[in-house]
Amino acid sequence: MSMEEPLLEVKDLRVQFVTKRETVKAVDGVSFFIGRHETLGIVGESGCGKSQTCRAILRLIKKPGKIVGGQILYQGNDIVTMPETELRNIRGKEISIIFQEPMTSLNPVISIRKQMREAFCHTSMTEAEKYQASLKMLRLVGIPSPEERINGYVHQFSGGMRQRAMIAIALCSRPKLLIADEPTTALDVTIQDQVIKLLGNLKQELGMSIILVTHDLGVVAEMCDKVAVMYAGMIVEMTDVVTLFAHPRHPYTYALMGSVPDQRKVGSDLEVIQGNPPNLADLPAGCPFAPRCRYADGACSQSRPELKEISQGHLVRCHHLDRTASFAGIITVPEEASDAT
Amino acid sequence: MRERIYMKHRPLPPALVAPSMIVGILIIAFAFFVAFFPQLFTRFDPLAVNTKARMLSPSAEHPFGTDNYGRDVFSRVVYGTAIDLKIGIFGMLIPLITGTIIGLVAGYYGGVLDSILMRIIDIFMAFPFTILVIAIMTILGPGIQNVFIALWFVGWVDYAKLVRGDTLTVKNSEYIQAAKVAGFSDKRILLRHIMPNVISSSIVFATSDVVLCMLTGASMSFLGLGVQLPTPEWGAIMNEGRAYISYGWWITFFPGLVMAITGIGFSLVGDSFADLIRTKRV
Amino acid sequence: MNQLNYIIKRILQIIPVLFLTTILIFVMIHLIPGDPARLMLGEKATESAVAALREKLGLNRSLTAQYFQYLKGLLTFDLGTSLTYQRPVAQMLKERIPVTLSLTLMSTILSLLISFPLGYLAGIHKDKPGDHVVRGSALVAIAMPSFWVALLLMLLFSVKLRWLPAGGWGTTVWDHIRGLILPSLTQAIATSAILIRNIRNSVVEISVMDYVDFARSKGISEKEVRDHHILRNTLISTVTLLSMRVAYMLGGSVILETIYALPGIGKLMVDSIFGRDYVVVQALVFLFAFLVLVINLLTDILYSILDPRVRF
Repeated sequence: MSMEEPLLEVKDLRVQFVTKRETVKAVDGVSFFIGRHETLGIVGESGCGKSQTCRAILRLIKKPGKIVGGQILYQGNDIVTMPETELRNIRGKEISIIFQEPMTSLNPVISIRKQMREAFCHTSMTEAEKYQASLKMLRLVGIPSPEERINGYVHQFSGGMRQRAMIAIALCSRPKLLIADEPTTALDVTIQDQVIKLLGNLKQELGMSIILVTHDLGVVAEMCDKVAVMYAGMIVEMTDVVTLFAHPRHPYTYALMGSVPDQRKVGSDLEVIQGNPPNLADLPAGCPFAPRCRYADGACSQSRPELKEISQGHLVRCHHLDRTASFAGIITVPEEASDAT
Repeated sequence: MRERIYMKHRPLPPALVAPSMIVGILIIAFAFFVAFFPQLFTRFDPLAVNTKARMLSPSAEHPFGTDNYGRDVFSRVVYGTAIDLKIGIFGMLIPLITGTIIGLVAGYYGGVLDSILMRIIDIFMAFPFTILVIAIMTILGPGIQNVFIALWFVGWVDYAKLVRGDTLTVKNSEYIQAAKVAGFSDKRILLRHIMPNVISSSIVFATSDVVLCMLTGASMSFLGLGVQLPTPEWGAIMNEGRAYISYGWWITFFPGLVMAITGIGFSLVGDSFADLIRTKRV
Repeated sequence: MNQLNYIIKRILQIIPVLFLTTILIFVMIHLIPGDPARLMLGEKATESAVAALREKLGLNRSLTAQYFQYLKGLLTFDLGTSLTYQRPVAQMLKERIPVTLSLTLMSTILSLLISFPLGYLAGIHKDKPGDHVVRGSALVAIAMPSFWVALLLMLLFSVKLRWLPAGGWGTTVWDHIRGLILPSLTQAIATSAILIRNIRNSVVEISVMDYVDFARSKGISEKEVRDHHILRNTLISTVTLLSMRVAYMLGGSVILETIYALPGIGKLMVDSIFGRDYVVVQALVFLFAFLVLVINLLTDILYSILDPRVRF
């Protein structure tokens, strides 16, 4: 990997939702970095904090949530503490975000054209120039007859086209980093594929980095260079994509892979992760995954494991790495190829 | 199959003891108390004419002053409480019951019954509420009884519409379908399963309806169509005071103030209740 | 083209309702006790005169025949002759409708001017002191009887301060406007009380929508986010709310015109009821229903202009 400065560095990010009844620790000490032209995947089940992490990067956390600790360094400047005016220069221009459900993420009563025009706020283009650039963006994301479509409204677009439109809007000012929060979850399977391929192409053409949040391991395998696995608001494993699939070391990662329906196991039961998702308002002491972990013991519920680097670029948060050393991954790689990235 | 209902001892939800709810309940309770025991609050006879004490401004003796007949306005307001509360509560109650039943049946069974109901609702909605009430009063003639009849005739439509809408939503939910599959009779499904779920919006509306009925009753009396003189209903008192507004403002001012406060009490309860339901649903 | 279809569709929907209302009104009027012919001619008229009038008015024909006679009258704008004023009803209505419509129009405008800024700001500054003050005031205002407010305003502005007339319509346009201020203010207070709460809740709901966050993520200023997205979307829902209140405002004209002595159809209604002028009452009830339906139609059309989801 490149040795240059990372584009974005998140250090010990903490996001909490404080209400009269409880305090929910949505993000509890997340750290990672992403470099230029790199694609970072964040996987985990619903409620693990991946969406809040993304929103935090652009300070879009909804009340009563707040960023209560940590730093988000973009090119050296801390997004968490920077003034509103500086933040606006980053939003849209340096970092953009697209959400899961385009139907609710685009204003239903304003034309697509006007919403795209807003995205050009960082440029000094004339109206005519903005219009032409908007058409160009729509073409770039593969929307046919953009001249007709651009004056339309969200509800007139199909699901896949809405997502493309949202991507087009997000990329108008050519951001260096695109955060995609579950961009395919709300789409049909065939459309999912198209959108993922689109993102891949755009990544190449525009040379941008992507943070891709998903719970679909297939998408991770196709798109990502690096992967972070989140559980209960923290990262439990992080490494490059090949290593993750070849040598997973966290029991949760292993269980996730095991629960993917596998053609080789036709006829046997689907594997599920036993137990219930954690209550982020009332996390047990110790490792958050312990209640559901096959390899846990008393020590696991006593103290929370730290994220440890077990080999170059591979971090795992577990007390019993000895027990997980023998996990079989989904893929096998010859030893030499594992550092080909 | 016998069902057992286990009552758990749970603490009251916070919204139920919200300050606004408490204040509202206190106001309403006080109003009822005054309505039932007016003698405790005033010694004057609301109908007693006293030509020597005409048009006196508010004082310790006459907190709300006296009117042009020398009657003590405070006692008139106190004795009027029962009348206005009756108009509000009973004006709301009958439409609540009839409208809910009609809405439930029409929403649940659908078909021709429902279409007819929809047409009827359309027609009623075409008239301003006051106009319709006045028109009915025209036919029936003045008097407080007819005010009730008019309110009942017009009021059920809003409830029917509300309940019908909710019933349609709930009708297709899974647990209703499960109940049907289990072989429960329609009547049982309607009463035990659907009604408890659709009744909450009716109850919220009912609190504002009480206020509306009181205001309408007062309006009719104000126009001279409702309560007949010399019965002390708040609207009627305000109408009497109208002619003396410049030099006897108290006759009109105090009944209106009391009416507003009573209305606020009901509104507070209704709003708190609405908040309670809303948080529970989410 | 879609919009035209929508308009036509809505107009067609109204017609059956109008028909049904005429039936309702017809039935109601015929329930009024007493003999219309005798009422018209008075106690002293001779039997034969009454009988002749009955024949002339068609009162001896079957109910259905009378209904169609009534319907025909409505369609040809022949609404009969007023018993008390001895003038064609249609003409009286023509003179008085503008008064009531002006009152309703001014009330609507004032309501919007009062309720929208207050409701919007209350929503934007949710849970802050201003929000509580606005909502509390609205709560109090809802429970206040309109005639009470009317009389108090009159007391303050006409009697004590002498700024505005205590009523009446006057002769010049300026007189008209001055005469309308207090009544429409009274109406606007009542309507705003209800609107404010809805507008505020609308703003609160819209503020947490994903599209607001997405707009923010583009890097536009907070002011632009509010103006382009929150304000605009709230305005649209406010229009629908307002339209629902217009029917109530028309009904409110009855009381307000009576108190403020405005020569509109509301006051005519009350006068006619007391004067037992059933010809006028019948025509007026229909007129009110007609106005409500027309206003609802116009609002639906306005709504379809503002909200593209309705059109397509």
